Amino acid sequence: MSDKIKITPVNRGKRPAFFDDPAIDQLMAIVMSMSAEMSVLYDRVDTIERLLDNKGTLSRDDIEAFRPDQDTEDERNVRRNEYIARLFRIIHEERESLVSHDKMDEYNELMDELAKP
Amino acid sequence: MIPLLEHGMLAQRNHDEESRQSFVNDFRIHLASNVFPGNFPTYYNRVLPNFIKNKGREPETRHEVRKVMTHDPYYSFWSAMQRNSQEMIWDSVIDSVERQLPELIEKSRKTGDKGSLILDPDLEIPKYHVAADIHLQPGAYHSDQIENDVAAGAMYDWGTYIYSMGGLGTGNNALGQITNGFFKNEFPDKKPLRILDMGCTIGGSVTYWAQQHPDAECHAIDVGAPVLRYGHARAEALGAAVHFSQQNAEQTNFEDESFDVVMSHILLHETSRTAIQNVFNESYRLLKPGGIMMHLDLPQAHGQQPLEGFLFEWEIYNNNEHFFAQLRDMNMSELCQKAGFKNEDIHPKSAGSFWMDDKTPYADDGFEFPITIGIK
Ligand SMILES: C[S@@+](CC[C@H](N)C(=O)[O-])C[C@H]1O[C@@H](n2cnc3c(N)ncnc32)[C@H](O)[C@@H]1O
Repeated sequence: MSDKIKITPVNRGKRPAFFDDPAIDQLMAIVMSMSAEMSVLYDRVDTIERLLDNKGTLSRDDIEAFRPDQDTEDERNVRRNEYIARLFRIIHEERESLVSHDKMDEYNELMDELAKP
Repeated sequence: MIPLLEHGMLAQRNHDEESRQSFVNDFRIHLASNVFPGNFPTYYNRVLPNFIKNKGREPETRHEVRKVMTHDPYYSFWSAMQRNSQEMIWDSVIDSVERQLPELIEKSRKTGDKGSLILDPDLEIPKYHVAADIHLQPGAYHSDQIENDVAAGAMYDWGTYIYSMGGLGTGNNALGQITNGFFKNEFPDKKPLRILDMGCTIGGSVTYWAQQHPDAECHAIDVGAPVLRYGHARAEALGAAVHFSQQNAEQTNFEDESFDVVMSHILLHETSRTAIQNVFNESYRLLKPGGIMMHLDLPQAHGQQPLEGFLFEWEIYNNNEHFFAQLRDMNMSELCQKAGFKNEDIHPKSAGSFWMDDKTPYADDGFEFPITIGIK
């Protein structure tokens, strides 16, 4: 492993900050990486289950060699999308609260107010 | 995620790498279709009313929208996720490329000889490319990190495919399909014999052209050596004859009036104010009389609403696409005229469709790419 080639960034430029506290930006990156790894793990478990279903036994090589066929990938897509939606429940709640009618009314009222001479 | 079509140079992904890339792909689709749209109600219900309260009017420009939207918590959260998803693309691609780099280099050195590859180690990499890793690709397009490096090409192949959420098609050539379909549609009588693609990267577009015009001599240039090595090997593996050379599109060594078509695909927005004019000048110089210039790039700001314009520019500020900020307001026809094209021979058009199935080579709906056309 020690002679593995490392591809390094030349110049990433300044990292944009999205939140006032840089720790939140960092936490965000960590949470997202964790989400990805959990999904990878889920697929791996899925591979193991499928191999066991089919053969009743398995080796590491079987797992590494497994590639989802179209049906399997479709199933995984559905599951991944549900997983991502669950992950971002809180964001979707905010989005939905913003389209709610009373907020629209507030906006419309303000516009009416401003339109008055 | 539907994998790219195998062509012999693709980095092979192990079980977990494939799964990780699929996650990033699905995650980006989720962001685009479920989280990004929330920016609209956020703006209309929260940001805009506040702006109006403070200023007594609506924002007039996308720059004014930027000042207020970037402080909105919903926008900030989406934006942070979007940026992370971009970094995760490369992160999900880099391992397989690092692992297989020696083999990929080996393969790239034993290619067919339908086309060719000429590198110029003395070529100066333009400043606008050294300044920042464009769309955050580690190592950018041009850096040779080991001898005969092809890593940048191998990374770009998978990376841009995931970036486009499959929009570039499983042959990674949708942009070439668009220009070629457009060309056939607009100029049905033209049979180009010599074609040049500028800023070809791994030659996704030009290789498609070479397959569609087997009788034409296709040339492709780029400033980046590792993408050219990869692109050449990729084209050979696909059985396409393309002549790759490492040259700056601002000033090439091709003869005057030696091409029927000079084109580029999303090159312009990655250059600079001076370079873009030089590229148009060079295109004019290289075209035979009656030859066609076609530069396809990303939408400009003209005609976009302030909010739409602001949202469209996310990449500029968060994905190292710096020159695009200026290009958005530039007058392409003026650049063409300065290069020598007559006003009546300049045609700014749009062509598009992303996310088309591979059987639809060209459609005039969907995501619209402006194409700047000049006839010499
Ligand atoms: C977004 S990529 C183009 C993608 C490619 N045309 C395709 O269709 O797949 C932009 C490319 O332009 C190249 N480039 C930028 N400035 C250039 C210049 N002055 N001369 C030649 N190539 C240039 C970069 O190295 C990079 O590979």
